[in-house]
Amino acid sequence: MVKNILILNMTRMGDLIQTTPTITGLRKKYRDSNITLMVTKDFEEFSKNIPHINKRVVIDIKQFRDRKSLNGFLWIDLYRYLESLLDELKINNYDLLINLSHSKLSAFMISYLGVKNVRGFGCDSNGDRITFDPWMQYFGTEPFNRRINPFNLVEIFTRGAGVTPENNPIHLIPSSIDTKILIKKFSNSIKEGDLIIGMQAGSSIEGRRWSPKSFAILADGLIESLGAKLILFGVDSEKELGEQIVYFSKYKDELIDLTGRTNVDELSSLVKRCSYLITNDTGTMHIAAAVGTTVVGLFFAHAHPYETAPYSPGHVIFQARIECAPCSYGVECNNIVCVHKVQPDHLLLMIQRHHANGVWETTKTMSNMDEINIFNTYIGEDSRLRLRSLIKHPITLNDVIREVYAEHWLKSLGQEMDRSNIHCDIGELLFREYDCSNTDKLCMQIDDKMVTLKSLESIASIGIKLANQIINLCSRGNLTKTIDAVKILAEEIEKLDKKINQIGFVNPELKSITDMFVKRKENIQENEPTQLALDTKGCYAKLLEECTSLVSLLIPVSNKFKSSNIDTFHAVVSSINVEVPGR
Amino acid sequence: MNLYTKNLALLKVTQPSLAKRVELEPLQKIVNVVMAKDGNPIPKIGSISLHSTYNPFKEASDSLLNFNFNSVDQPVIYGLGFGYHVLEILKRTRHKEILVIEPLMAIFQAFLYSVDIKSFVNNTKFIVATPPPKILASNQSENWNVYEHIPSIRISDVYFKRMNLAIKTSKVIKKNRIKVLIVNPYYGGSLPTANYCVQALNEMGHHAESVECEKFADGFFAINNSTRNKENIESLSKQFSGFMGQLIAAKAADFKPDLILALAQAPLTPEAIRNLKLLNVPIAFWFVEDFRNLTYWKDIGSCYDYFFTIQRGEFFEKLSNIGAENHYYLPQACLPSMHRKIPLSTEEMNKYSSDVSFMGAGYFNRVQSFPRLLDYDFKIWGTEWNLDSILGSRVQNNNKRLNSDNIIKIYNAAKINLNLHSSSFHEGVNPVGDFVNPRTFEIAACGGFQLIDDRSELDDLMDPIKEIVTFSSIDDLCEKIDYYLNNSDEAKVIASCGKERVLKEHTIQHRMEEMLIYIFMDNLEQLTTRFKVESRDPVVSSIDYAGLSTDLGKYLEQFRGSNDFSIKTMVDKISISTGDLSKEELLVLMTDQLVKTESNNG
Repeated sequence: MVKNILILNMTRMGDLIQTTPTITGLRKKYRDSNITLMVTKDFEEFSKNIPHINKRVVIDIKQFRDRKSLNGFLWIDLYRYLESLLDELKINNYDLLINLSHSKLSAFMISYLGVKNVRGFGCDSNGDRITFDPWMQYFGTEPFNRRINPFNLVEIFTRGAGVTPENNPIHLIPSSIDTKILIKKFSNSIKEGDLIIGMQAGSSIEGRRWSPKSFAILADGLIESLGAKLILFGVDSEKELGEQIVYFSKYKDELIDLTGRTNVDELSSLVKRCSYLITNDTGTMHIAAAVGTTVVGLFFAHAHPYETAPYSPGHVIFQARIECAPCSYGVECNNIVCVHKVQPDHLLLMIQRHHANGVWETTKTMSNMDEINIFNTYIGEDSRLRLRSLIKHPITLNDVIREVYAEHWLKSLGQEMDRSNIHCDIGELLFREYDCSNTDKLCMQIDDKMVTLKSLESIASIGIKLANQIINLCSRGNLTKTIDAVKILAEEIEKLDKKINQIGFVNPELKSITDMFVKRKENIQENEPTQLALDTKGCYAKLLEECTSLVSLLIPVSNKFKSSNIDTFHAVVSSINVEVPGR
Repeated sequence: MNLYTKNLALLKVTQPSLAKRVELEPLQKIVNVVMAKDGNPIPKIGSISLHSTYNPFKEASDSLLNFNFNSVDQPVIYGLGFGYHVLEILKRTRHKEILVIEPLMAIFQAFLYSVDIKSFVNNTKFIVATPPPKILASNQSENWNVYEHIPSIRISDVYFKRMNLAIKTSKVIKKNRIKVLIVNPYYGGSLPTANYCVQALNEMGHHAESVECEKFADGFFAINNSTRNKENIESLSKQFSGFMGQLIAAKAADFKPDLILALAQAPLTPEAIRNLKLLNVPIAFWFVEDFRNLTYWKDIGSCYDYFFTIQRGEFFEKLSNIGAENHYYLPQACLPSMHRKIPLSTEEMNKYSSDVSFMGAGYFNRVQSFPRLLDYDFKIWGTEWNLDSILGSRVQNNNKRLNSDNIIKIYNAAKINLNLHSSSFHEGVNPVGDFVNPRTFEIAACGGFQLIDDRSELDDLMDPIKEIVTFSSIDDLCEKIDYYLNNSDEAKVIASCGKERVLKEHTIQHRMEEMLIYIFMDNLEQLTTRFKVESRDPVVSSIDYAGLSTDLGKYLEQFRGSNDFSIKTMVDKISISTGDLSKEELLVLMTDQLVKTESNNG
């Protein structure tokens, strides 16, 4: 019986919003429980908009920022503060802790609090990393396998918390602010019935921003073609961006520049009033999705739609389709080209069409589309939020693998919802969404991966055998006599693990599988040899199972591509087309 | 035999160094000896009688009515006079030795002329005309029970005030960790001394670090090969020195020392020293060279706040002439943790042992005189020897540089260690050699027997009969080699006494303590303020702040004595520990994460 739940979410506004399906799911699952949410001081106010929370705990490090130095005795003050905060939390005897913070700090907190039932990033009693729950383990591998990850982070968090994202949309407590009064406060030019479009030109990372000039050109187009009223949103530090948009626009006086002028509540209310929010990947984007405003998202640099697309259907996302997109976390590009691939015209034409008929689709007049992706968020046949590509690009191996992984991981990592009635024909889906006219090479690549998966299966089988041998030796009783033999077997296992790891590096499409294997092994905490061997055997067994599952998913896909190739061949070589002597 | 001669003879047995000094010091006629009414002599300086003119014994006895005698504390008497109070104290104390500190040699000489010291010598150590820092470095002052002879205090008011200040300074230094930045030379004989200073200071509980200028030696020397143009070489060398000055300043700014100590040939130009002075800490120089050979002291001597030397007399006059007033005699020493007796394997004995060994460079006087020793089982170790010369075959290490471990084995293994100070122009012994080289103390500390050429400063440091054997010429050397090869037991006893003396008074730790007391007597307020402001021992301060009896305070106890204590110290310790993380460790790790995050966020 879960009575007291603690959720650690010491992250940013967008992440907080993305947590709402998890919280809603937990509330549904544990109706009578108390849910406590820990947030940072910066988002204390905003967290009041998160629904289903009984209590908020604020970790306030801001109070120490203005003090002289963190290197004097201030660290003792910080120590005491943490001690007091956590000791107070401990009294509540939480029986479930969900860690959505993924930081060392949160991991140590979990260890300190001593909560038994934990989901998320943590550490064991020795301080070594441990990840509770398979979905959270998967999350630990995702940053290294972004291009083949099919899951939105919302989905990962929610499943990791043991609840379903399906039927648990992102959601904020509606603001009590009277929007009409609010609008009047900032502008007299907006009338009832006006088409209001918001623009969020800033973002936490500078490299992710579409240029102010592009925003200005788009704004001009929307004003001219749709008579839209444009509101510029942003925080105080983004004021200059707002000024630049105004500067570049032909309709300077008609743009309503609210950068640095609204608090979060006012922002939410105003965004809700907008028909569209044109935005970089920001917290405001997630507010828009949560309050039901259609998002036109711009995903550049590290931003990846598969991970952080607004988590509800009906939004559109633009992204550069170039080799380096999305780029890795932590890199600093000195030649940003991705932001220039998406043109204001791309957005304008699609918004015009959507405004007219409520459908996101490309137009014939749109050009220069080879190097962009346009996605539409929708609920798929598998009840999951998905991205549909609105441009039928030639299919790649990553596209195939990503799709296969969606089904694979749902089975392998477990999920709350009964999916036995849900069937998604991967091959059909791929044919629908991608240009599959030329898949000879792709078929060879898929076959190649299946061969590699088979070799992984063999290695996993060997691993199981070795683990069994250790178990047998340990069960004989006198470990001192058998220790040398055990050591030799352990060394063999180490070699196998290195091989597995290497296969992942050589085959990035399969790295997700090998990384999960490593993650599971990392989670083994046992020291007692027999149990250790049993746990190790379990890891190999899981690897074997996953490789087999993947192969079984790839075979029909591969066959579908091959059969489509045969059909094409037949079409090419039908008797009508063959040159027959005398004809 | 008159009283003075008799007394001197006694003193030569108990305190030969002092006896020698008394003999060498010209008699100053500032002390008048008059007779008290009871017939006892009393000294008078000007109009001040140092004892009662009626009954000095009674006066002495009365003055001790309130003096607390106990067996633990050592009586230390400020002022000798003619010792009536000393005798009274000797009667009453159970302590086996009392110290008498007398600033004026003239008083002591007059004392020797007037009073029979027989009753004094066995239990009294006279410390005469000795700087307070030296007294405190050589004697444990923690349990001193001081008796002040008031008339002597009046006569030598300044001295005894300095004495008390030195005691106070010594206590502060012992209680706190002083940060000392040592500036090394590029190369040469003083480089090991620089390293020993660092080691000694750290072993004493202070925090010393080096600026390792020797790492830049190759660059420095490469300048000479980069061009043939002498002017350009000079210009480049100057710029290089400027760079080194900046490097040293950067290290100092980072390390924030309480004291900067440069060793001989440290690459500090006057300009660089001026820059360092902006840090507002004392800057000292230890000139461990022969001032007559290396004369760069003329350019830099006046730049330093403190100038320590291994020679005095003429050198002090010259230093005063160039404005380097704050000079102080500080001879070389040994580092006991390095220079010690070690067991040697058979193989090592085969390699290192000999009847006579010499460890050092091939200077002129050695090259000239050592052929005299070729009939002996004589091994030479060191550099810059002409391997093609007649001595070449005796050079054991092919002129390659030896490390400390090898050197210690040489000192341990030789039956006789030859210690001939270098000279570039004498053919054997320098008849007016003054300073004593570090080898003297190093060999002694290793328990090695040595024969050393006569040096005028040696008598003050070691007993030339009981603790060390000297020679005045190469002929004398050969005789003594013969003698001690045949009287090895005697050699062992002398070596043992020499070792005891050196470890008691002539270690680098002694020198460093003396130096620190001398420097910080003038800077005590600044030092104590820095300790208060900077919470010198961060662990102690952290414990105070956290609360001694709290879990955190108790947790921090294990870090006492850590250099540069910070959160990182604790995190590093946690990362190498095993077992479950404790509550305190978890909180430290969390605090560390927060500090890092805040630092990254700027």
